[in-house]
Amino acid sequence: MSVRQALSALLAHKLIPETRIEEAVALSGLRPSESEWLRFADQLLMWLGALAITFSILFFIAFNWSEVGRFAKFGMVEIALCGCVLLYLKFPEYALAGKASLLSASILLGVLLGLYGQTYQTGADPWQLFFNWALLITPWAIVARWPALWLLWLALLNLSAALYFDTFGGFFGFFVPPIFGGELGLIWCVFLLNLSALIIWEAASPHHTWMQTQWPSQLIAAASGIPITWLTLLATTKFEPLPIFTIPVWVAWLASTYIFYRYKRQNLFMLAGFTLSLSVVSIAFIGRVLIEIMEEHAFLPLSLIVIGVGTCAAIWLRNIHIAWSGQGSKQ
Amino acid sequence: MNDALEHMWQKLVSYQIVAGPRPGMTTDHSPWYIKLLLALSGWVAAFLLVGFIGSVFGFVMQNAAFSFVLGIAFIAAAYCLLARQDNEFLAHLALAVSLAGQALLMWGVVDALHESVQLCALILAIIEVVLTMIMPSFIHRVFSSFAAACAFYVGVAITGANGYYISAVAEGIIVGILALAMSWLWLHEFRFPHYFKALNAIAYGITLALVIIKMTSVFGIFNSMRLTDETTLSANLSPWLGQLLLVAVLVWVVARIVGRLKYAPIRVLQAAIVGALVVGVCSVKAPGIVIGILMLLLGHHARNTLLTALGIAALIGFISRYYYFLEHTLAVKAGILLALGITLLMLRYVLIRVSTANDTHMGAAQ
Repeated sequence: MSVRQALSALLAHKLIPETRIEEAVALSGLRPSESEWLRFADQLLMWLGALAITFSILFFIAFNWSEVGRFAKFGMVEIALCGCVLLYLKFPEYALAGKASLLSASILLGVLLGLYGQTYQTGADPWQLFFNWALLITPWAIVARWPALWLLWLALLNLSAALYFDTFGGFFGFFVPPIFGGELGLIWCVFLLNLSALIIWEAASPHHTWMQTQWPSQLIAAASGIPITWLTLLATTKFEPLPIFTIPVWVAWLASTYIFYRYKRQNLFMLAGFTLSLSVVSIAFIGRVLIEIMEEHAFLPLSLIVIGVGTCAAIWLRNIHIAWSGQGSKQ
Repeated sequence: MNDALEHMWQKLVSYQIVAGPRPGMTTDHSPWYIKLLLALSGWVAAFLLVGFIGSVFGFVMQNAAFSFVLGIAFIAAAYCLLARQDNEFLAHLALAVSLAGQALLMWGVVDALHESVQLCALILAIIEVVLTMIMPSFIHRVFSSFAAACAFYVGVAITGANGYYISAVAEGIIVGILALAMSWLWLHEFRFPHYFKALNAIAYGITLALVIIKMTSVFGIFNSMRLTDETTLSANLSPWLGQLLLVAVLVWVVARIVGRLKYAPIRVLQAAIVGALVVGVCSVKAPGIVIGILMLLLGHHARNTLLTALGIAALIGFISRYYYFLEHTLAVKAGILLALGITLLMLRYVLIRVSTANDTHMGAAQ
């Protein structure tokens, strides 16, 4: 429970005399102190400044000014890149400025690769740019031990995989059955890539403290959960052929998510994602059946089902939240 | 979860604000994603309910009076259900029924007054204000206050004898008023402790409405409706008026926040006000950025993570939009960004040097 939530709870139960509320707010530590404001301003200025400079270089290269020679363009990007790396080395480990420098360097590397492809017209496919970009920043991601950089790396891999699939309609020349073709195959690709990333992240995180914040795994889980939910939704509501194992895969994904995040590594956000996926697919399936049978009269029972499912999901999640926090229904 | 609560209670006991052991409390601090799940299920259910009524009881939708009366009946039923607060299922059913009732109500109003968009919007604003006050549900209040603010904007900004146009002057004034209301609510959320949760819900609703309204103008939505034949005075005034109001609100917010700091000397207050003025003036041509900064400052001041995150998203969105649509070459844009980046990093450097010097000075004085 945060300071804000604790104060809100005391106010909601009228436990603080009205005449002393301002005093209680001041004592609670809700209002940031001078040093906290300085830290806030420091972080804001650092991130905005670093991103502004990085994107200024990107825009300048994108401008493709013919009066600037290619060596000048390469020199500009490479000097900026080296400067960012040197700044990273200069600052203490885990310093904010160091992280901002490394992020800028990672973005500038992509700019450099784009400039290279544009200047020499290598004929490379777009997916190769993003794949090589991800490959080249891998050592930095390993050294930095910073989740945000790993997420950038994963996003680049996702993009390169999607572009590869879009270009070749499959992987490594293997025959792709029609039911895997086109958009569906791409969604499967994104699901499998991010699921693999999540499994690796969860396996490695107990051994590395820097991996133990929850938001990176939650983002990756969302990136794998959304595609499989969409595929299952299509399988249950559309009449187009989908792989026969779509629903079993979804069920297996649901079961493993539930077991792992309920009992092994408590994470309410993941369980919320689990209930959302289950609810959406169930309601879509029931809705399709009801509309086939009852046509427009199906809307009323369907609305009650939506409310019922939403309520059950919320109550279940709240009970788990309370049980995990050790609060109980009454304190 | 108990620790923060118990710690705060003990602190208040030590300052004799409260006494004795902490009473037992039921607290509902569900994370935001659970509340979002509830809101979404309410919305979807409401759409299905309206769909059912429209398809099965078509005569209701064709008759303004029926639609209006049925809408009120639905809202009244929702109020009765929400007032009970002892059954989760009924609470969410109530939200869906209320939303469906409001849709029917407005269908009736629009059907009766379809020639006057302004009047319909103002009536909707009044209805939503009343619902905000009476409906005992946090999510409902967020929605109602959001709808009230948007309806108020449409009712006042839409003008034109020959058609429907959005007056840029009126738009600027309304955005300024909403920004002021949002800021006042977040800065004074504990002023009326009995209505703390309600005021919070209204603050969220107005914040969302402000962002959406600004997005429609910044991203060129409804551009064909923007008035182009205003008088010379309003045509000259309109780009500046709204932004001036926003800058005034920003300066006021900064002054209030710095004024609440215990140890901030007067020169810090002066510097903060000057800084706010500079930022405001610099962003005159980049609408929306001041709103993002306001949300960021208010969110951090209230330790409200959700508001801070919305502020960051709004700031990045509006900055990106500005640079994308800037009518200059990429080289000029690159130059502007470079200057901005260097200025921000220099400001950071000055800030660190000043705060370090201040710490050294205070240490020496002790």
